[in-house]
Amino acid sequence: MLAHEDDLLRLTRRFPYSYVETRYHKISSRVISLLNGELLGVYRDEEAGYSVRYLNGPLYFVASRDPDDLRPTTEKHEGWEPGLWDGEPVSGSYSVEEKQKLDSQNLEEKISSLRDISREVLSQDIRSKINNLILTYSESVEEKELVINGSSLISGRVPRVLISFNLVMTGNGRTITAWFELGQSGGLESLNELRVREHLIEKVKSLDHLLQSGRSVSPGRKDVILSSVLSGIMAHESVGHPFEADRVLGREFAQAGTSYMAELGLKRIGSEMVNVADDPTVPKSTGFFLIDDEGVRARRKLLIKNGEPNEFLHDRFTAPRFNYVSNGSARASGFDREPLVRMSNTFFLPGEMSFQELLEDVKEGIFFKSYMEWNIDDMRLGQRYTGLEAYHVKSGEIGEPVLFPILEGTTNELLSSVDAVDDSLQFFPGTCGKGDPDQGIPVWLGGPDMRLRNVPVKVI
Amino acid sequence: MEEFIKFLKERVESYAVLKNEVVSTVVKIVDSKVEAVQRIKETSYNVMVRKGRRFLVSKVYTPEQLREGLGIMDKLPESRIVPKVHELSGERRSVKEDDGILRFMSDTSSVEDFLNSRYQVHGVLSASRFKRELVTSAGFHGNESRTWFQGYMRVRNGQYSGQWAFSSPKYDPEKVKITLNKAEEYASYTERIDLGDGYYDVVLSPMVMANLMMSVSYMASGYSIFTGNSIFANRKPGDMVGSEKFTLMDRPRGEELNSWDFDDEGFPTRDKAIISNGVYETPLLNLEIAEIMGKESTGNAGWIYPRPWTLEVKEGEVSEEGLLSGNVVLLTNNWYTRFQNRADGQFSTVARDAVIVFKGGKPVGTTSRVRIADKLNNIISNVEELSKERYSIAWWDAPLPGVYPYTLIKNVHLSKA
Repeated sequence: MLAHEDDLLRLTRRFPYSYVETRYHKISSRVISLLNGELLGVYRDEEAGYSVRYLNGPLYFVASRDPDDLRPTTEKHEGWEPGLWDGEPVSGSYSVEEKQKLDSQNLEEKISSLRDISREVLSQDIRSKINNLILTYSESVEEKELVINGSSLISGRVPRVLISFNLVMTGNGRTITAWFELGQSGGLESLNELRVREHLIEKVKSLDHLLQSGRSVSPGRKDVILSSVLSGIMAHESVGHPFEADRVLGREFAQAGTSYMAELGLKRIGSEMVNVADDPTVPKSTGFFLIDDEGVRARRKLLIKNGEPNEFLHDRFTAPRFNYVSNGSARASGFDREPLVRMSNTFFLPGEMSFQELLEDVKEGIFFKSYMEWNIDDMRLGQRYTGLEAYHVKSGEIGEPVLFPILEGTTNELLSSVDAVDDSLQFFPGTCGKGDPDQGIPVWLGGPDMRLRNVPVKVI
Repeated sequence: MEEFIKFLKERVESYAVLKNEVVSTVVKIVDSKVEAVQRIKETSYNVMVRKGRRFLVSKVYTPEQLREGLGIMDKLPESRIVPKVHELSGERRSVKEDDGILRFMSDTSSVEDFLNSRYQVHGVLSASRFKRELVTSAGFHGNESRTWFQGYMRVRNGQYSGQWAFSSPKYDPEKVKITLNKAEEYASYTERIDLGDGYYDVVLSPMVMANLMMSVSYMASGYSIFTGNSIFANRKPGDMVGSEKFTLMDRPRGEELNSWDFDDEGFPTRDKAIISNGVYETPLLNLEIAEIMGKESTGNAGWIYPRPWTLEVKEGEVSEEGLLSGNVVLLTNNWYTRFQNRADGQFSTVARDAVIVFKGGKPVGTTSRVRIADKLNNIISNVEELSKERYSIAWWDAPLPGVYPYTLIKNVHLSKA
């Protein structure tokens, strides 16, 4: 029995169409923000309400906090959707455990912990100056209940913890403005598991080293090693997005854009070493779910297999256009947003080599550990990464930091240059945007360290 | 609202309750057909309560949801910055609603009339009614209501495309037609030519200006300046930061979308130049950031974070065509503006749709996969000329409404993937 089952079934009866989704969706969040160890603010947010989506020519979507507001509309349009995959929706529930409940500490205790972390970071013995450190803790619980076609009952509950920090540092006549984020699903145990304190201290020391000792880099073609931070954003942006079937079909053409899979029809995207998956079932992930918002069981999708396209992300509406079935990729960010084809946790699969082995074979190159800017064209082809923490690699050894190298190239050019990936796999949280009204949805981005041969490196 | 006020009056001395009610109809168009019709009603109560230098901000539905927070407020540490309530009482009421927009919200059957094109049309038409009610502990009670009509269209001509957008406080079919015509015009340029990395004289369309000026205006927020995440952090009012031809206004007292009479602290909004003829005039301020900076509020609250309302770049003296008379690269649209360094303004943004290369005033082809990779300071300093014609723009990747001319900028660094 769902807590809002009566409302959802009543809504279903009010919409006499062959396919009807009704959903109750609530997201409660609390945010604590500190500036240089002093409390900046405490924010609490709750968004909850009902929605109905049904197919009647076009797709119709209505949403409100009050279910009595929701009525079918009478207007007629010739719709773009030719139909849908009508596989039986499943019933079930999923949730992520809070090993340590989010409410097991009161607000004071949480603020005190964050203040301790801030103060420890600010007291590090470094040569550069930390102008500002904004540390933001965010906890949220997403709860949803769905009834599909009046028969399938689904519930989901995912708590999440996110930590972000914005650093402004100056030293040696240079200024850096940097932003990082850590996060996972779960309870307060996440703060220890994410090693927030250690991560922040390491980052401040690393940026200090960069400011004090960073050397300029010469442009040209070089071997490059990308850390999991960069392989993660590449997996999401250069592979995940263009493999969304609705984008391939043109449904996002005027918003988030198109796909090289639609425009160029590439048969090979990368080297044999390139394997990319999207998997909502990864434990502790921010993109975790087991049943999607159309009542389809979630599973791992291998988007690129040995460098070749293997599978798109589908919902019920895109699948039949490819003579396929939905692979459970429909998700909405809140009660007031329609479900769309979305990524969950997207990552390059690791290999068997160690990081040391990855390095050993590089005579002259650059290790990109983190980036400060990334963007891509709307076909998801031409992309640019500006390194923040980046290091010279010579004869298999990581050397001194280098200042702001830029990796700029096309997806197929860069992925075809991958000749090795190591055996690590790390994830980072992100918020993926899509749709209109825009909906940001929690995802994980990840991968191993990845070696690219002879790729173009520019400078600012 | 009354329940909130009764609840808060009994418990705290300083508070503000901002009720937002937004009802929207959003029609999504794909391949010249209606793909989805969305009708969304969102109601929220944003509540700021303050005791001394302690405060909480909550977005809730009932006063009861505030009880837990109020119970622990006294135990919180004091905050570095504390939202304030303007000491102004009385009632304000302002209703600017357009019947045409309200009709479109309930009946979208006119959409197909706008889709007659030689190309496949994609895009969104949306109509919204915003109701905003603010009650403060100072005795201020404001009610405002507005309607918005906005949209964007992107058309596909084989591998080429064009996109344009509009925003309007009234239902205006003519603006939709102009939007489609502009998108069609830009999609009709079909010769491909290559453009290498380098410095070029660039004309930014109002679409691109909307995207970039949004970044300039958020950097003008006193909060961005206070935290060092701004090109204005090391500048002071009176400094020359741009070309003498460049004026950027925040204009909440005009007729454009997102024009309001009072801010979230009950402070009257006012039109102001952020940059006037190249001179940095003022950051955007609320009461608390103004106090830190020793200035007056500019009526741009946002609790803690001041923000722009609706922007305007002053027009120039030449025509659109006149700006294209030399050797220039016209960027008709862009997206994905990202900053490498907010203090020095280093950024890049990706061109999208038609990037048209003009030589001797004649279009010689379009190029692809280029991005501006430069400093924001250079962009506003190298403004050479602006068009007389201006367009009201708000769209998916430039949601802050504004009015912009075409703008010729010298020596802009372009980079190609």
